[in-house]
Amino acid sequence: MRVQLVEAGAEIRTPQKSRRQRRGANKLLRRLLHAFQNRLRWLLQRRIQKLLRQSRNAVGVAGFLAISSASLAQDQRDAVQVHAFQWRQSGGKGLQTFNGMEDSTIVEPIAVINTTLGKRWSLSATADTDAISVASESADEVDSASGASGFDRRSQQNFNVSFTPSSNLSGDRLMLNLGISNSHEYDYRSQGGSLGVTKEFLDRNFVLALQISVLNDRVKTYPITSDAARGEERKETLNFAVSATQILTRKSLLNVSLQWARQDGLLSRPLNSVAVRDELRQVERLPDFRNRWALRSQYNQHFAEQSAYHLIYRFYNDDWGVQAHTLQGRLFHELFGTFEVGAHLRYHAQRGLKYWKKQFDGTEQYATSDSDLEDLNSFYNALDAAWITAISEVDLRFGIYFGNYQRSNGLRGNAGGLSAITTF
Amino acid sequence: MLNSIKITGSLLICFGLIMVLSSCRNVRPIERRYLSHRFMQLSPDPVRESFEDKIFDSREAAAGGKGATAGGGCGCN
Repeated sequence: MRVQLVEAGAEIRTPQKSRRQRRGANKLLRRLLHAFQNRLRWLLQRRIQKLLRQSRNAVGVAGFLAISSASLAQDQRDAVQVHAFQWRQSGGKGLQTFNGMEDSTIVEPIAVINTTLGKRWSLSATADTDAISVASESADEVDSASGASGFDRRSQQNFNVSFTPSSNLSGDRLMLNLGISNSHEYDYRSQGGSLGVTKEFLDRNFVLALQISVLNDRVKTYPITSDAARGEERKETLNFAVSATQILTRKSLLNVSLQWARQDGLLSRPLNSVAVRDELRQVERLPDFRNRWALRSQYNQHFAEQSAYHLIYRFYNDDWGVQAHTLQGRLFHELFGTFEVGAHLRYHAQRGLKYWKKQFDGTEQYATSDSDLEDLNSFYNALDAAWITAISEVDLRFGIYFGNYQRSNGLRGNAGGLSAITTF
Repeated sequence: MLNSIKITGSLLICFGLIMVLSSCRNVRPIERRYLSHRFMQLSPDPVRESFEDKIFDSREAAAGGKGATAGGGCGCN
């Protein structure tokens, strides 16, 4: 024990902490500092892993979505989506109808659920219904086979499953996709299935996807002058598509896809008619098989940190004499990390069916005056906006969009929609 | 008009193929910050685009190209 002699009158100071006490405090401080460093390192590692996961999934999901109609969650998280769309058209002078009117309105609510089961399985279910109001028979062919006057309703369900059998999920993956669909209205029903394969190469710089799908439709046919069904006809569609996506630079990629479809069965519309001499009308007649090809390319470019644009070109050709070119441009921009705005322009030019005429003499084997199938150009423009926010671990996205469609033969249309997407 | 569009489309496809063959590089996962953005997906809004494609496929003679069904399913084309 140390004894310190103090002179009388001198100021007495409190003795300082002992070495043992100082060592204990330093040890505690070191432990706290060590724990803080470990926590910080763990948070940084999680963030880096998340970024790597998203970047690795980018091209794989992009290539997969190019070939699949399933709306998979972009970053493999669970999501619930609710959408409501409306389409209203007017101004057409369709020669395929008795009175030339093509006014119609469609309201379509859609619900989509995406979920993942572990790291290998993804499920997606879609349900939608169309409420269709038309001004005349066959005026609406967007969502119904007959488009009978008044009101019609169609419901549709889709279910998709995807599976990754690859043992190394961090490397180039192989993904399998299986889909089934069902659609029904009072005079029409359709069941279909699809099978797709997607393979990544070169550390996911190149993605190749193949898909085959089959649709089996049944359509009730009605004579023009009767409400009683005459019978039921079949219509079958076989689709085959191949798609390739290549990363070009850190900010750009290119996708090219080729699709072939063969349809056979009832390909004319039951309530379409054509004008013949002496003011008579006959039912539309079209071949019972059709081969269709489409070649599409899409170029995506990111620029200015928060913006991107897409350039799309599609060439279409079939054995009914139709040839078409479609050019599209899309622009996206993010504002303040909270809002997204976008613009969409589309121009379409087609050479019509070789069986199309305004009037026939009644002896032709095939005859149609459908305004959708003649020589025409169309222009579409749309604007959209979305608000993005988050509550705890749940991301929310609310969107709205408006579109305007104009066709060279007089038809005009307006499209609009609201959407709410929850990702968790 | 159709011929000029045909030429433009052919040039666009050729340009795309040339880019693929000559200028693409192997981008590492750590460099794909921009590619992982939602805007860079081929279909950033797949549900809305599906609805629009259905409108276009039924109001025009052409359909398909994205891998979705070119015909059937809704009785519209």
